[in-house]
Amino acid sequence: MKTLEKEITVSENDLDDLNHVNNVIYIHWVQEIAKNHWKSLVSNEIIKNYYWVLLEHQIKYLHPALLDDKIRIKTYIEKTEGVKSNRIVEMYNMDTNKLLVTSKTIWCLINAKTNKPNRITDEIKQAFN
Amino acid sequence: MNQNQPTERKDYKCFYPISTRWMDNDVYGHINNVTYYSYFDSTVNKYLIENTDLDITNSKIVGYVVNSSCNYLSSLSFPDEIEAGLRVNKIGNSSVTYGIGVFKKGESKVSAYGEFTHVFVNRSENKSTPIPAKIRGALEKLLII
Repeated sequence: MKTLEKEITVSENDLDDLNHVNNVIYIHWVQEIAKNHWKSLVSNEIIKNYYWVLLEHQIKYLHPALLDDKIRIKTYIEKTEGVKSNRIVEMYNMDTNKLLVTSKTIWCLINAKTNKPNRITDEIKQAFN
Repeated sequence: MNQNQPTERKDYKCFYPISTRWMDNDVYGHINNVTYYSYFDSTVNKYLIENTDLDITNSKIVGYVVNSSCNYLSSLSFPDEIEAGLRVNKIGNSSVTYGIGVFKKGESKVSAYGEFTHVFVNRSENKSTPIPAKIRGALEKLLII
């Protein structure tokens, strides 16, 4: 499976009252890298013709991230089946290589013209692989 | 749909109104996926602040979120009026798992539901600690048996 990795540095705006990265911020990062990964793998035509709707999301917070920590975010598609794909996102502290967060999301492919679920095409499957 | 899934209004013990904002919408005109988690956070913390002496900024004991999940069943959009239902699914010695259902005002079925787990931690030692009695009492009122 093709992966996308991104590095970010924790800023003050990412912190909660406990000076840890807020749990909602991690979910925002999950969504952003999912979007970037999709756009990096397929053509503009495919992007125009299809979009993804999130069905289910699970996230585990294993260790906190703090101000100025450098985080490596990695994503890949674990599985595709019918209209659904399972996406994994992992976040690591770049200094310690410790796994901080794991996330699994299940997405449904939607046809932009009909706004109905669409079986994942071979072209999209190949792009993920 | 699995009968154990908390998708009905009757599955929740208390409700809080939530105001949607224009900025909550994504490019498709739906409330963004991420925003539901801020509804979860706000609902749980509002209940804890109103019903316990938890002071999130200064308290010696705080709740760390260790996992969360959300299932999205139907979309919501600004300017929908929303209500968040709250329940407690499980209480352990030092942790609690909440269930939250997000309803369009007046609807009996959830648009989204999920859960998240707080582990209570002594801030100075950074170690898990038993849930304080006052907080436990408030949480037990929401417990689904």
